[in-house]
Amino acid sequence: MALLEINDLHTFFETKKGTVKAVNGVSYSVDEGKTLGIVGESGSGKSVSAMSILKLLDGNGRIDSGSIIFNGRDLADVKGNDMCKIRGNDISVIFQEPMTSLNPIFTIERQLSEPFMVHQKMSKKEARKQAVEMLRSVKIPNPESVAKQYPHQLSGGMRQRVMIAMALACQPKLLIADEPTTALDVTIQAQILKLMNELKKERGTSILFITHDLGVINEMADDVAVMYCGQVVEKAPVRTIFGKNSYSHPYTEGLMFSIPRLDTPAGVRLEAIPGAVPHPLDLPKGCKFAPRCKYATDKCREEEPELVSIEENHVIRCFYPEKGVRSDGKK
Amino acid sequence: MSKNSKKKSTLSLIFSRLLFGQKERVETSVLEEEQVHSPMKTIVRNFKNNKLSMTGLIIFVTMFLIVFIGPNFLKLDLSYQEVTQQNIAPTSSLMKVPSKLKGHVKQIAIGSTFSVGLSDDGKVYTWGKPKEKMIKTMPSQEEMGKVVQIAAGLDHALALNSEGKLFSWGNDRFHLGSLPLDVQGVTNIKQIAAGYQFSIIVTDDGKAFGWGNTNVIDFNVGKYQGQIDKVVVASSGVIGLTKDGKVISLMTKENGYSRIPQDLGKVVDIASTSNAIAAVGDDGKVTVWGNITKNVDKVPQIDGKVVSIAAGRYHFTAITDDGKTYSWGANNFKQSTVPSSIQKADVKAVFSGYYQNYAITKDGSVLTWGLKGYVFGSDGMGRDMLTRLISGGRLTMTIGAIAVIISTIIGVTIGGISGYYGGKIDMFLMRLQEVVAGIPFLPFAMILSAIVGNRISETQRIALIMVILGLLSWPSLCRLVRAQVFAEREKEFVTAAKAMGVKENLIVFKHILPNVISVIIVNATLDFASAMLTESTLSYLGFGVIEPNPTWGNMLNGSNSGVVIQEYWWRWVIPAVALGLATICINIIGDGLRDAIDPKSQER
Repeated sequence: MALLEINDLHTFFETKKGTVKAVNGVSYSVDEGKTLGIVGESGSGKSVSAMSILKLLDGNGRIDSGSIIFNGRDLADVKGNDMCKIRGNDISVIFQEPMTSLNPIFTIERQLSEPFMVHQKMSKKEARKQAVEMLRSVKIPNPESVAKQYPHQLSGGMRQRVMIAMALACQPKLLIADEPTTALDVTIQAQILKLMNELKKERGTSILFITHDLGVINEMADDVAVMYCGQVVEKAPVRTIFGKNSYSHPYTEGLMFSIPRLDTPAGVRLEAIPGAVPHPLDLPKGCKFAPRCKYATDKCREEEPELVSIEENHVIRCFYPEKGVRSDGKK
Repeated sequence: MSKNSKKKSTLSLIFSRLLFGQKERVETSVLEEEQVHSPMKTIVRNFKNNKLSMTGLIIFVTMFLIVFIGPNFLKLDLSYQEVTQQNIAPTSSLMKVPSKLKGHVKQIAIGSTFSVGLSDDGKVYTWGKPKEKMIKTMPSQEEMGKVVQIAAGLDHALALNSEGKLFSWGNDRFHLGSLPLDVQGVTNIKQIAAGYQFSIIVTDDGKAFGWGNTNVIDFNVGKYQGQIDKVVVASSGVIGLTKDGKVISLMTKENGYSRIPQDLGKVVDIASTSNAIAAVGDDGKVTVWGNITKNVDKVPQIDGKVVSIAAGRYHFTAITDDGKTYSWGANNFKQSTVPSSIQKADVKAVFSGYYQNYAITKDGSVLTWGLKGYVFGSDGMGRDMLTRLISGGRLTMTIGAIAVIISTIIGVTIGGISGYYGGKIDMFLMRLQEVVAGIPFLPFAMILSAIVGNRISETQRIALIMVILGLLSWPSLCRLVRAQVFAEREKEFVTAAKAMGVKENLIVFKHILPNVISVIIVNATLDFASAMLTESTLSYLGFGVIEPNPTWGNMLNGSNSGVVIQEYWWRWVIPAVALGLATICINIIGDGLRDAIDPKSQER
């Protein structure tokens, strides 16, 4: 059963130059206890779609249409204080920048005890005790003394652990991880991912994992949604894409090819997707990826493709799903 | 250092160095790590390292404590004023008997701000703070020869030499300086007396002559001419003692002094304060009558027989036959608290006048008690500047502090809301802020003060000034806070707090404002100084706190007269220095705080 189901979500930002359609008809779902990975380039709308769930949009952003069904409730209609009860309690977020996501002037303890005090109405003393417990559960050595420290005294990895501890404080059903490892170096990244996987197993938390790193997706996700220009272009179980290499969309293909591989012979240039992401105010007619797609036809440039199912649990937004091929992963 | 240092990651160390670079740091070896402090501790340490700010802080705290604790010891009497003590320069030597005179004092006469002493060998000495004119007009010792008796009034003095010749110097209005015709020929003078711009002589044959300011002093010998033995001058009349020990009124009008008690018996000595008379009977009993104020009639329990009595302006001092000294009456300058050393001493004679007492012991030494002088001088109303400076400082600082608290609360609230919510709310609040900032402060305060100032009590007026100051000075802080909140609200921790489910209006005050608090503190500190200055400006101009309530501003008020600037420097230099020192210190503290909080400012 799906814990979170987003249907045809449109999130727009009003700017002076016009309406930016950051999320333009996105649908995906996260099953209970599962991880959905969302990949895409910068500006593809992956973060905005996730932030729309909690309505943490900037002042000029709004959900234009669509529904966000969480646990049988449409979050698109929830307002103000009711939203505050869901945030951090049922759904919580880990942000990209552990350096700035903690308030620099409060001790770890004080920040970590806040969700307990806000949502579980604990007393200060109790909440602080719980905070230390949380630090221990995210495997921070010597949690009692770390609790008394300030964010600047911790390393990036430690801080991200604190952020995870804070996010998991109230045992949320869904954890949105918005590029949680992007700002960390690789070894720390591995530790954090391992920790998240462990916690997921322990607590049965569903995770919405946003990243642009396909390697991380492979490690973390059960399902993958690839986003481009505010739309989902391909959605499939992780094993279909990475295990069987049976991705079909040209954009997914481009992303896969741009990963350096150990078996690439020396001297062969890494293939990059030509061009750049179109400006959100000046989207191309037809398929949004057409200008950069090497398989594009005139039809692609004129008409916009719909999501089509090519096998069970595998949908792509392309006119030529069968043309795909590419199941061998090579040209 | 090493004892306490905990293991810290190198990253955090570098980070803390970047954030909180310090001027002076203890050199540690590479292996030894430095203790990482919390931001607040670091600020305190940085501040401590700044010598200038620490000096400022120490001076300011000292002033603050003096000003807030001082009034408990130096009580301010709002209704107090004293004509005889006007414009006395800072001194503590009003009772400093010249060393040449010590040991052979014959007589001491006490004037308002000076004392005149006569030695056994007929030499006259003056000390204290006599008016310039007095020093100029004083006859030389050669001119006077051997002086046998002296007397001192408010601002003139008399001397009688062994040849029976009378000298007068000091104030020469009302012909005080030149002896009247009927006195010039007299050689058998027995007693000379001086009062408030008035001089009297008593001759051997019981006659009394008086001259001077007859508007104030009522003197009419009438039928008693020929019987008078001694006269005393009170503030508005003269009382005499006849040769047969009877107290008589030498006045035309009936008043408090002239209602002489009938049961006095034979009187041996009389003395007068400015408004009461005391008589000592031959049984040693003291009786006080007149216009009784300041407890002058509360004669203490006297063991023994009083033989002699002397009086100051509002107190009496008596000595008994066994050399004991007793004082009673007003005690504002401790003039009626006889020091224990004098209570034990064997006193031969006592000379009192105004606020001073001199006791001459049998072995010839001079002991004193009473008003030594005014450390910071006295003002145009004869009030002690020190007392007013301290009480005035309390009022000035209180007004400044409350005004700053009001303006900070308003500024932070409006700035915070404006910065966090932005949009239309910001637009509206910023326009409001501009309107308030556009109000010209001084004219506004003057008009308001002129309109409502006279209808309200003094306390309400002080409160009004605090409120006006507070209500008109918040815009600058408001703009500052708004800008800071604008910057802070874009930071990720605000989104993180939101994502954690903290309510929006709490985020401003619980998460953003603590990040801005340093700016607020610095600004409030600097505002405190300017609020004090503004209050002083208003009070100086007469639109703020008005007399008799003192503030540093209205104490400066006198300096709008050229005479004060030229002659009485202490009346404007001292409050100006106090105000200047306080504001400079606050500014230094504020700058120091800013430097301590913002490490970049040290990289100048």
